[in-house]
Parts: sequence; C-alpha cells; structure tokens
Amino acid sequence: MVSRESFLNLSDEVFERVGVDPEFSEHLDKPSLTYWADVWRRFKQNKLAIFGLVLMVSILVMIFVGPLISGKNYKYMDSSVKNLRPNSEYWFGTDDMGRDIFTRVCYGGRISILIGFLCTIVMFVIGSTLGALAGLKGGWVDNLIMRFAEVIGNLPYLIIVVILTMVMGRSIFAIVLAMSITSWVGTCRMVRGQILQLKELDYIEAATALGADTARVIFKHLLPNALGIIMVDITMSIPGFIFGEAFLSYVGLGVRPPETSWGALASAGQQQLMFHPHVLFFPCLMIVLTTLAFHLVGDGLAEALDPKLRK
Amino acid sequence: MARFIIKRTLLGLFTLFVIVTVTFFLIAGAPGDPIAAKVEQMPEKAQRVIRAKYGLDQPVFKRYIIYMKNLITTGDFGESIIYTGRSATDVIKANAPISVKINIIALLAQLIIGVFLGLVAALNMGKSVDHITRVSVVLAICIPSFVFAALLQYFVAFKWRLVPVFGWGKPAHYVLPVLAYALPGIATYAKYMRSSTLSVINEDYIVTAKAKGATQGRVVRKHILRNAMIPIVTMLGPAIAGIFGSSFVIENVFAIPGLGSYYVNAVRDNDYTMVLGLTVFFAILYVAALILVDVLYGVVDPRIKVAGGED
Repeated sequence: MVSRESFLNLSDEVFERVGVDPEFSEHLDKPSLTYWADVWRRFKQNKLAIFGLVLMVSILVMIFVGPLISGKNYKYMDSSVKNLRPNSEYWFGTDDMGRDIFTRVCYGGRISILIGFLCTIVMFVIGSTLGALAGLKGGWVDNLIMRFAEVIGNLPYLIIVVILTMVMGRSIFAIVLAMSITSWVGTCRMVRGQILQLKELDYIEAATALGADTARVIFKHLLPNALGIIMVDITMSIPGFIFGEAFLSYVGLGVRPPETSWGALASAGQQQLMFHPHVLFFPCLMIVLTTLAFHLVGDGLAEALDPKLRK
Repeated sequence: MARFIIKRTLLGLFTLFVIVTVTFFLIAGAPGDPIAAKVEQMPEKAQRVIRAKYGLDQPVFKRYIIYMKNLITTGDFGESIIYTGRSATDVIKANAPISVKINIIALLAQLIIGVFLGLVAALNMGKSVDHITRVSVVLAICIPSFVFAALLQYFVAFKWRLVPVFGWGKPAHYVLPVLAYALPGIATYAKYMRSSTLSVINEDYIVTAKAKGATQGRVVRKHILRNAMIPIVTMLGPAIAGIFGSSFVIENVFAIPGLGSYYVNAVRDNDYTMVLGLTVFFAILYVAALILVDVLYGVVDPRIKVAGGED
C-alpha cells in the first residue's frame, strides 16, 4: 500500500498555519485616503477646475519668464515705434511711448498678483486670528471683537480705500494696507462661525483638558480644520483685490510710474481706446483670464471640499 | 423692536463719528500743504490771509472742533480748497440726484434681469440655457466694469453709432452707463438665484403644490420664486446702501456729471476739503441706509425679528 503522503508528496511541512491576521480582517476595499488626498482626487475629476489650475500656472509662468524671452525692458521708451499693432517683434504691440506692451503686461502682472496675494494674506491673518479669538474666548472678548468688526464693516469700502491711499501715498505697502484693513471683517465672521461650530467637538475639549493653551488649540486644532473653507475664501479674494487695485489705478491712486500694474495699464489703455484698442485689450485680457482661473479653481475647491457632494 | 432700532441707530452714529474723525485727521495729517501750490506766488501777507480763511493757521484739533460744529449745527460740509467759492454742499445738491437716479435704475435692472436669468437657468438645469447662463455669469464677473464700459463705448457708441458716446440728459444717454454698471450685479444675482432656486426646487412643499394640481406657472410664481428670493433680499441691503456712491468709475468713463465723478476728480486734484466733505456725505447716507435696511429685514423676515429681539 502506497501511503497517501508519499503519493502526493504532501508533508506537514508544506502546510503553514494561517491563523487570523487582524490587519487583514480590518482591510477595506478602498485604500484609505487622507482628507487632502481625497480632496485632490475629487478636484482632479473636475475638468473646469483643472483648466483653471493650468491657466493659473501658465499665467504665472508667463509673467515671470515672459520678459526673459522677449528680451525687452519694460521701462525702455523708443519713440520710433509708438503705438504699433501686435507684430512678430512686439507681440502685444507698443504703447504711446514706444514701450513693449508684452513686457509691461508681464511686469504689471507681477505687481497685480503680488498685491492680490499680500492683501489676501493680511486679510486672512487679521481676520482669522480675531475670528478664532472671538469664537474661542467668547464673552466680552467676543463682544468687543464683533462690535469692532461691525464698525469696520459699516465703513464704505471704496471711500476708505481711496482716502487711505490718498493720504499714505501710492506705495505698494499703502495700497495693500488700505485694501486689507476693511476687508478682514468677512473672514473674521466666517472663521468665528466655524470655530463656534468646531469647539463643541470632543477633541477640542480633550486638548484643553490635557493642558493645551489657547494658541495651541487655535493653531494646532482649529485652524487646520477650518482651513478648507478659508482656502476657498482666499482663492475667491485674490481676484477681488486685483480688481480693487485696478480701480485705484483708474482713479489715479494706483502704483506710481515707472512701476506698473494691470490696472494701471488698462486705465492708460482706456484713454486711447478709440485709436489704439490693443493697448487696452491685452492688460484686460490678462485680468479677465486671471480672475477666471481663480474663480474656476475656487469653485472646484469648494465642490471638492464639500463632504455633501462626496460620491 | 424699538430697542433694536435704538441700538442700531446708536451704533450707526458711533460709526459715523469714527468715520468723520478718522477721515478728518488722516486728511489733516496728509503729506504736503494743500494750498501751497495755489499761494506760492503770493506775497507773505496774502498767504497768511488765505490760510486764515481756510482755518489752516489754527492747530489741527481746533480745526476739528470747528468742522464738527459747522457740520452738526448747520450741515456745512466745507468749501473746496482748489476752486474758490465751490462748496461741497452745493456740489452735493446739484449732482447727487444724478448719481442716485443711475444707481436706482441699475439696481432694478440687476435685480430683475439677474433673478430672471438665475430662475430660468435653475428650472432648465443641465440644458443648454443653463450652461450658457453659467458661462456668461463667470465671464461677466471676471470683467472689471470700467473695461466693460470702455468696450461698450467703443463698439456700441463709436463703431456702430447706436447711442451717443458722451452727454447727459436724454434717455439714450442712460443705456450704456446703466448696462456697464449693472453687468456684474446681474451676474451675481443670477449666480445666487440659480443656487437658491436649486435648493428650493425639491422641497416637500413644492412637491405638495404640484401634487395638488397647481400649474407650473403657479408653482414657480407662488412657491419657488418667493422662497428662493430670501437670500437675494439679504444681498439687497449693501446694494441699496451703495446706491449713493459706488458708481464712481462708470460716471467717470461716460463723463456723467454725478457725485462720483466729482469725488474722483477731487481725489485727482488733491482737493482735500472737498474729499472730506463728500466722504462725510457718503458715509452719512451709507450708514443711514444700512440702518434702514436692517430695520426693514426685521419687518420682512419674521425670523430676523426674533433674533433682533433676543439680542
């Protein structure tokens, strides 16, 4: 009789005891994603948002690399090439002083986007710090901050901006200060609302019980959780500030020449619209495209961050 | 309710006081002598007389007291420092009605067209009407109003000669400014109306109304429109408050003799007293309108009345 073992050549050594693998039994079908990985995954599916992102990056590349490629100086005036239409030498044409509009649009874009970013940062820092403080401390601190915000929020925005830039001069610093000093109220209210909602949650109580001070609770726990809604707010604010700067330039309170910005270029172009429309066209096109890019990204971000829209 | 009104009015008065005080001292402390350019050529004695006329020989604080006293007791907003004999009060009387007229027409246009577009887009969600509206809304938000104004001027008035380029008085003169001024508002109202209609459209009471046999027209008019309008009504507040002084740029582009053009010109001329007078006037109207709107909310929306009463 041939034993079963020798016939199949199966010995005990071939087998191994599997047992229960606790990690495997916990395994889910979907790989677990962090919050931001999930947001990015949903953002990627939104074609319009991706288009916005690509547009945004292209604009940034253009304004930083553009002058190197064109090889021209944005301040250089050449009276022999005044008011040229766009051609192979001057891609966007030249203005009434014979300056290359393409290079000027690139330089102006740097200033416009810089102002947009700086204003947003100042607005965000003041607004979210005060908002977080008000929401977290409550009581008289909350009352004081919110009354203060109410007074600031009651100021007519444009008029305050005009007065401040008129008085402080036309440096970038003055423009940024004037525009962000009244605009933080919205951020403050929004962050306060978020904090009021979040601070009831258990982990905040746990952190406080473990001895974390207010600053740690704000920066370690509350801000990261409110970050989503703040990011949407930021993306939507930048174009607003670029518009604001354009308005100031139009009124004659924008950046001082020879520095320039999209607003300053557009307002200069607006005066020669009847005869040389291209001088107005290109800075405006850039303002429109930038605003469009930020809006598309902001919308996409809002949708990606909204847990209700999660599929 | 009475308590709410009193509280709101007190806060408003305080805000006004802050605005007037801050504006006064900012302008008083502004770099440069406001009348230096004008009196440079004059003999010493004449300079002193002119300085005394504008009160510039007094210390700042005393000037402030005098200004406040004149403002409160006689409603005197001050006299132009550049154009002798032109007082801010006269400028306001002559030009404010024009600005208000333009702003009210534009506001109505924004509201009617914006709400209609938003409603139509939401009712046809996913169809081409919806897509076209959404794209146009994004584009309209991305164009600064002075650019749009310039484009309208160039094509409609200059190239196609449908309406006059400049001028004031005839109905045809209103078309372009109102259109340029209303466009961003139309887009904003359409955007919010679309999303609020979408959130209302699946509510139980809509289904009930349909189940009870209400016609499509009746459901839209009586149920959807009324409920979807609530967020729009909330947005009207700042819009109404802004009707007195937010059309600066449009007035300037179309050379409309409204208060906004005077303000922009006063800023360009560094006409400090005129800027101060007009700012105070704008601020008074703005704050008064905000109070009125807040009180009206309480009347319109019962939920806000409760919150106001508890406060």
